[in-house]
Amino acid sequence: MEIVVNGQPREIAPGATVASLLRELTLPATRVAVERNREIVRKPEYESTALSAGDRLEIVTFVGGG
Amino acid sequence: MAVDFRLYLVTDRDRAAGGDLLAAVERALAGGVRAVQLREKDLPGGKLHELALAMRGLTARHGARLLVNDRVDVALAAGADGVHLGVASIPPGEARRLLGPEALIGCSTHDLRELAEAMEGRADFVTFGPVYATPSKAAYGPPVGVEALRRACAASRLPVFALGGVGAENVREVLGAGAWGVGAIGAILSAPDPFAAARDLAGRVGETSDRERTGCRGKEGTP
Amino acid sequence: MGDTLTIGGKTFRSRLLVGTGKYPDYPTMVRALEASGAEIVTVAVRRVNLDRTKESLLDHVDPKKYTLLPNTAACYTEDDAVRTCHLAREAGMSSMVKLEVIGDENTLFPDTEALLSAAKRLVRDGFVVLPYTNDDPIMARKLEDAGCAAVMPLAAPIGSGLGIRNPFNIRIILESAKVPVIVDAGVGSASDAAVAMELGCDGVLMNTAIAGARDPVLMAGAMREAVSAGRKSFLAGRIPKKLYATASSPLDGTFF
Repeated sequence: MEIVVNGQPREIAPGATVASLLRELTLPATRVAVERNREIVRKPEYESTALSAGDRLEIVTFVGGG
Repeated sequence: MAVDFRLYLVTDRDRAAGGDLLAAVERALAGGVRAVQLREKDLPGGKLHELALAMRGLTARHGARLLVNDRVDVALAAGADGVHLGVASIPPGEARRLLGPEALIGCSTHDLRELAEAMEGRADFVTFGPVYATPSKAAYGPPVGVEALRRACAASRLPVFALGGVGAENVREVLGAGAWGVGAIGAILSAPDPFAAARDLAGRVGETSDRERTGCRGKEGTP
Repeated sequence: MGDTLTIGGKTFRSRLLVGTGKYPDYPTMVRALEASGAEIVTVAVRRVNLDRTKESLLDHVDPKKYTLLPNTAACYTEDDAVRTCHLAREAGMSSMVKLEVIGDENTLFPDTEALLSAAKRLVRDGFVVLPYTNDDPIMARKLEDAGCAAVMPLAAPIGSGLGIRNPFNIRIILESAKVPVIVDAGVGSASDAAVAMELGCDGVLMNTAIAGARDPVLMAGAMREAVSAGRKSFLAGRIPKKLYATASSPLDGTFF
């Protein structure tokens, strides 16, 4: 099924969760924040939050800045 | 537009290694030059415009700034980033009025009076020199020396590029005198390997393009 | 040394806060942060780079060694700033944020109306808010009354290197502020930083002054010393300014 991650479309398997997506992207959960359809997903809920077709995800982290 | 470069390559096609100015400038850009002044003062408008168009393509491909010496009309027609004015050019205030607040305007200065005029005319930066003896600048008289450069840098609100015989062996001295950056002609163009000469000089002045620096660029990457 | 800086209940020895943007490369940034002695470093919040071959900031800045202060740079609306803070808290597990709501892309001056409104929302949501504001004492007071943990008046536009443009306003802010006052933005030279501390500011935050210097590591060391010197000068109690001389050597015992 298709979702949008950071503005880009992405195919994911049915039954995927936030946690499985992060593993697929090799992103450590400790370094990011995830927003699903404009709502923040808390870290303890990554494993239990299933993704649906059409979900818009924003995965952000800290970068250099002043 | 910000003065976001420290190494300023000024062209002189008579001094380009192998006689091919565009090839030499291309090598210099690949070596890290981020700003070029097209200075061929003896060329009539049409020929200068043709050369400016070619130079614009080259600099744009390397993400570098292009300024045209004296000819505001050619700079505008070729889509350059700005102009570099000499004492005999139209006043910087007039150029600013024609080009608008975004364009880059550099002025050639040789003493504190010319520096003051450049500041008053809202130029963005100045070159100061000739600091050391040099063939290109023989027409401007004897070298002004590092002490004059030091006084100019202290008096200047604008970034000062030391020009005239500046090369790897004296970069340290001019930067120590307070120069923001250096202008180079022969040190790069006449070198047997302009790429290596540019790379060396760029390293010595700490040239790094904005794109390569750490951190986010404005709104890039915002969710 | 007992002269520490306390913000939002956390105590720091260094009064110099440094940004992590605009360095020529990560190794230089790491050495500059080290040389600055900073304990608090600002970071921005952006989409993660899905291209895993590229380096990321957190490969070089250890959150156990530094207190990361996320900013809301490039936010022009209250909503974007509030959203960014919530994401930042989730990413970093700390509630301290540098709140910026920008009003104009040329000057990057704050939109103080939106800033105050965002600050109130964030304080209500439990954030420790450090707002990037202008040097208007009324604005500073409103931000403090709204519950901000500090006020951070700009010295001059971000990256301009002009130093404190209006020291008189900064002094007025210092007179009535009960929270730390940290000059943020516009510092260019070490003397600018010393001047801020001599006025009585509690700290200085800078990025471009260090990252954009020809030798960022050397400049970071200079800034560390300047902030320290300025603070000592302030605590030491300077002599008053006078028009005429008062001799330093005695007149008694002269033999002429």
